[in-house]
Amino acid sequence: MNRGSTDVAVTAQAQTERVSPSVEPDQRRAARPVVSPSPGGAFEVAWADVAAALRITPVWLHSGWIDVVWRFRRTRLGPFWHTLGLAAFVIVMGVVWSTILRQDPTQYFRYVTVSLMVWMLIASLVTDATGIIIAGQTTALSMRFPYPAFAFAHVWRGLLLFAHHFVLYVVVMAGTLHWPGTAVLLAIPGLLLVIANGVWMSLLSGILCLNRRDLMPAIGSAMQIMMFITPVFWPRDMLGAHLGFAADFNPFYHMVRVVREPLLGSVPGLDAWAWVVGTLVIGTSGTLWLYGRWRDRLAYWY
Amino acid sequence: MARLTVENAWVEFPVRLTRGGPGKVSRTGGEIDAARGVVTALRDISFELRDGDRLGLMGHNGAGKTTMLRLLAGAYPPTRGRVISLGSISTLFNATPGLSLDGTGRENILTCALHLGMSRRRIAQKMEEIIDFAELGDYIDLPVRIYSAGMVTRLGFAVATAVEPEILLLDEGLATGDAHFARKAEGRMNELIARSSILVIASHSETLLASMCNRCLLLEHGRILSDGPAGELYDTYRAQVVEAARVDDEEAQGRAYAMTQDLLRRGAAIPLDLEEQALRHAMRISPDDLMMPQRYLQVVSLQGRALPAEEEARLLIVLLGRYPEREDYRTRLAELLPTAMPRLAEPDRARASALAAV
Repeated sequence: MNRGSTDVAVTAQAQTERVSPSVEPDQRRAARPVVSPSPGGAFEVAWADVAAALRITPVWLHSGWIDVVWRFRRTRLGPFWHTLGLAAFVIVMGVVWSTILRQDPTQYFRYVTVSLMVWMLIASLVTDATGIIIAGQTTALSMRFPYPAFAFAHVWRGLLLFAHHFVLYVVVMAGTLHWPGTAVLLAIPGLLLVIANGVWMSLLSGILCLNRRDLMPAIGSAMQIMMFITPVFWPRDMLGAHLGFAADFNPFYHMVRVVREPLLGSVPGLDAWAWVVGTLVIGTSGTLWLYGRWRDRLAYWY
Repeated sequence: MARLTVENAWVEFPVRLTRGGPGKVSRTGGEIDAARGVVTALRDISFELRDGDRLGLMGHNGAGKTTMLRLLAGAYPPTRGRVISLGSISTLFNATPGLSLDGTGRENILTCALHLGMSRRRIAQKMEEIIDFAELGDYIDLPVRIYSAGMVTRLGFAVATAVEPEILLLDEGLATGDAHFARKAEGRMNELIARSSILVIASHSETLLASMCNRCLLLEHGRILSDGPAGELYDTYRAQVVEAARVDDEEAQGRAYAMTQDLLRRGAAIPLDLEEQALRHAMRISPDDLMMPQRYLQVVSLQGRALPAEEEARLLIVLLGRYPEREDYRTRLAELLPTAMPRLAEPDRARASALAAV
């Protein structure tokens, strides 16, 4: 290429811009200078990135959605495979465990269905999030990308899968002729609180696993154990008076409660709401602090 | 108004080394400091770019060119010092952010373009143009999984170049498939470059940089070795390569070969000293190609120099074996024999006397 032709092209471009001043900028335009490493304290840095991630909402909304589409593209049932798997699990569990635990079968069916739906959402927000930042390598290494956007995309993806499972909820409720009543509306704030918790949980999980790859399988196992010690398959009362505290001090239990109980038609106690809100506040502040502290090192951990 | 300021920036990668040892400089790559557990990829970099600046990054593999682009893009925040940028930035690397093999071409265009910072409306406007440019035809609605490697590259290139940033960061060697597409790609790249107000391009092709940039940085082991106008820097760089190649540095000879090839492709004049070193590399990698020693002898004599007698004699023996009719070679060999004979090894010695005697 020679310089002459470049100059001509520059002039031509300058002219087009003068003719049509409404040319829309292609890029997220940085009106103010961007300083790297980010100045300010940990929370300031973290908040700036959360705001940046919110500004690119179309990006993560699309990528979370298209991920689900792509992942199940070559299957006939698509995401409903998960629902079907859940259904099979629920049927087996419903029959076997209602006998073992001496529970009323129809009531236990509903309990296990809703419990598992909610648990699978919560667990996927933690377990599947281990790889979200690692998978974003190409993106994170070619621009200054706000990492919380990976967490937003992940939570959105989890919510989409949860929506598929909802079919099973309707089927089970209709099949067992149970109407939860207006309490079911409380599931909406409950779900919102759970996914708000999901944001910090998946961001934390993604960051930790980026730095220490050993944590990926470790977190997987931990969440599996968690499923058995959290009252998911069995009611809390079965722990008895002495072990009840194991559930009461388990934040996951309260997260399950605020969605499960409204869906089954009862109102979760105030303690559940307090726990979930408390977890949200503490978890979010802790994660934001950690994020702000290490934000500028993350790219070096790839 | 775009601006890019780098102030004493360092990029240091944490490493966990199993064996300790004193820090040493490897032949390529950054400096390894085992004691502190870091690899210094970029060391104390400072410069400033303003509207209209075209900066070229030169250096061998692992000199820190790509790291520098990532630093400027904001992907690697400097571990010391700082980088201040004003204006939208776009980076063109080989890998396109957001590209997935499971999606169709059209879906991938949307996903990648969103990742690269385009709005949905803008993508919709440009969609057809991107598809046209990538020359994917009916493949555009098929999954990328079944594309050929060239098609994936074309798709990535078409999307990445659809974004029009103020600051454009380019990594060299954007593989762009066949010759036809490579030409088209070059045209598009030039348009993009013309529209950006700051360009930083990393390349192995010094001639390309010399033609495109008004300023060049020569990097080595993550340091700025020199900084200046592209042409001047190129001459310095060439002189360094030639000098290194003269003292039998095989890597430098290979470098000289690559530079010569590059000049040939561009139809530019090749300096004789560079060609000489390139030919040494060529003779080593393909000893059977007799064009190379012939040209080598020519290049040396054109520079008014002479090879050591035994070296020239050895080449002449090989050449006479293939072209016995070349009387000029025979005469030259006969001339050389008195000096060369004692320094030749046995099989060559016998052949030399036989050839010269005919």
